[in-house]
Amino acid sequence: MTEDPRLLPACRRQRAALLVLVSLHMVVALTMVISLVRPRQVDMTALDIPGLEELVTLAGLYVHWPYPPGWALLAVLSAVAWGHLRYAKRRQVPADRRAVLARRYRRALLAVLLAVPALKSPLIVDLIMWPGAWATAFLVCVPTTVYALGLVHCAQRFRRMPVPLLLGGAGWGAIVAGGFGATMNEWWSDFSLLHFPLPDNVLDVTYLKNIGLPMISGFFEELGKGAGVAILFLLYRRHVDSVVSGIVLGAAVGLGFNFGESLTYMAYFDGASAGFHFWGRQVAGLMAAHTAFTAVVGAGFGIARQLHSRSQQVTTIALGFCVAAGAHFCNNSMLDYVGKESHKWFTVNDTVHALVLTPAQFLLFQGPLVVLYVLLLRRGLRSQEGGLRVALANLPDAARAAITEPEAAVLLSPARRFRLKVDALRAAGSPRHGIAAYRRLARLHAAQLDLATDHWHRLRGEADPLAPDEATSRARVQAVRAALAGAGP
Amino acid sequence: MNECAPRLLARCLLTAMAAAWVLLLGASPAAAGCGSITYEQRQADPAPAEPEKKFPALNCDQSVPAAAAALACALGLTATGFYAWRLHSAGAAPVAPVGQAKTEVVGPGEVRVGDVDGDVVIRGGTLVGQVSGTAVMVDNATFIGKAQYVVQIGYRNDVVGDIAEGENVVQVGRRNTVLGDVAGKLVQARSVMGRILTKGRKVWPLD
Repeated sequence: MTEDPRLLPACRRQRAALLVLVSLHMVVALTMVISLVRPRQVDMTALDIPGLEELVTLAGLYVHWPYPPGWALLAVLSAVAWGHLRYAKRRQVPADRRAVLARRYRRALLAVLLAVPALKSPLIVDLIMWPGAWATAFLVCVPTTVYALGLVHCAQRFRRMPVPLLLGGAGWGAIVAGGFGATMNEWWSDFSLLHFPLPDNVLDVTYLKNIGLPMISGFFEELGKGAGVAILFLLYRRHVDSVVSGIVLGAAVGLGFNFGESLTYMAYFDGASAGFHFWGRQVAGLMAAHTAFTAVVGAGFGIARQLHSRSQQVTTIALGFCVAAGAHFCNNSMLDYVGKESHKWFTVNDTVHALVLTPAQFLLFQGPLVVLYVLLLRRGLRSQEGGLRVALANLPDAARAAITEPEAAVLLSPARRFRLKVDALRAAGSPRHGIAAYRRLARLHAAQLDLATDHWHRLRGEADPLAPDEATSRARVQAVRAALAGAGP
Repeated sequence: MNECAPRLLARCLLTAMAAAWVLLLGASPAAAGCGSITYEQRQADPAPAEPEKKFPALNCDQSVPAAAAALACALGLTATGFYAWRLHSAGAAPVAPVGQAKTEVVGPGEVRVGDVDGDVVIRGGTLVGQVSGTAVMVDNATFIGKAQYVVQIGYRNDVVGDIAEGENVVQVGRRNTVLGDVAGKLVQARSVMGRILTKGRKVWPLD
């Protein structure tokens, strides 16, 4: 009997991913409640500044502006969906049509859930305020970010996760995590202004705000990015199967966030400091900063995927997050401190400051995280190679036709695979055919690595129940092989 | 990867977390020095020297970091190209020595990816890999890789790749194809009436 279609997804992992997304909204709701119920420590009227109270109220509303309308829309849409599905059931509409209906409502609700934090993304405001500088920054930052994404993708020397998954992670980082991070930073800036008694000097409130900003941004920006990693991990766990893919996914999310942040800083004041920020964020610090922080979050998920105990898994993921949030906090505090104090220690001209001191600070405060994720990646690749070697040596007889012994040797050597693909590319009569041959051969290698990796996980007793079974993987290899044979060079 | 490896990695994260928080303990007092101080501290010292606000980002000539960025990008691309070239060269490492007496056959429609230690006859199929001995290609065969010797028999053959010495090439047929490198001799012929022998063993025609 077919199960009654419901608004919530039937799959447990999809429900968990939805819960993570909803949790981000709940965190924002909590900050709203805190702002609303806090006691007013400053009597605005006593300050006798005309329009100050209205200004503060307006600023407070700006922080959360898309959320209340978005939640209202969610409530209305959920009620309509629930009513519509009930009505359809009463009218005895076939279950498959009701399932389609439920799926459409689910997508609409999901779109609203994603759109609300995205609307808070600073990218939108920057685009409106400085469209020319924003567009230039966008065009300049795309090549470097795509290059870095390619770099982290190629770091997977054996099985690689699908490119759309990588791009999805980067998109989450740039838009959703960026919007969430901006909300929380703005909330703290607004909240801290009125949380403490106002000092005699009005300008001192900026100090009070700065007390917590490095911590707030370190924690909540990592939370936003980590939520993206968690959601993609839950939905595509088959592809995030080791520390290597975890690091790659985390780095992709971080690169997306870095891309959004670079655009924001480069567009400020119509590109007044675009050159410096491009240098700092898209060149010197491209693989550090957000990329490194979130890569470590992803590493936690990747390691947890291969642990058997639930408590160890939770601890590892939490550790990854704590490392990233702590390092982010430390980095923000120290960069702020050095930026404001270094002129007391020595005097250098601004160009040397930008070209030498800035990268040196990155090296000092972000370098340890880069070293950490590179070491984890290196260790993970070695483990993966060792595991694949064992898996390929212990393939079941049925799978031998899909991966022969000479093919196994090629699969274990990234250099050999690359060489063969380049040979195939050069062999074709035209670039179009060459690229097609290259891609076909890459698909064959990918299908064979999928089969071998899944077998490795089966040997370790950690196979993903939602991954295709061995017969399906074998059939896929044979299909790709047949396509390769049919196409010719 | 054995069971202890993920645990080792988890411990690695634990150590890093501890290190990060030790750094934070140092960072907080340092940050306090630049103004992140409590209100009470501020009241006790009502007029500390205002640190000079200086933003190199805004003061310096933007063309300088932009030019540095362009230079770094160019260096990065060059390094990537060099790495790709190294990877490509490493993929063409010398194949295993000849030691296998049996001649392998890749049949029509068959695709084989991997090295062949010895001689191979590719008869209408596709071989992607390296051959330590002689590769004989007939009936629209495709060979992508490197071989010591290649004999191509058929009407249409091309050479796409590097052949070190011209005298090693014997072309009889009109169009033949070699996809990859040939280290030793390449023979291309529309047809071979006799036999092909390598190290005294008959490779072609097949029995």
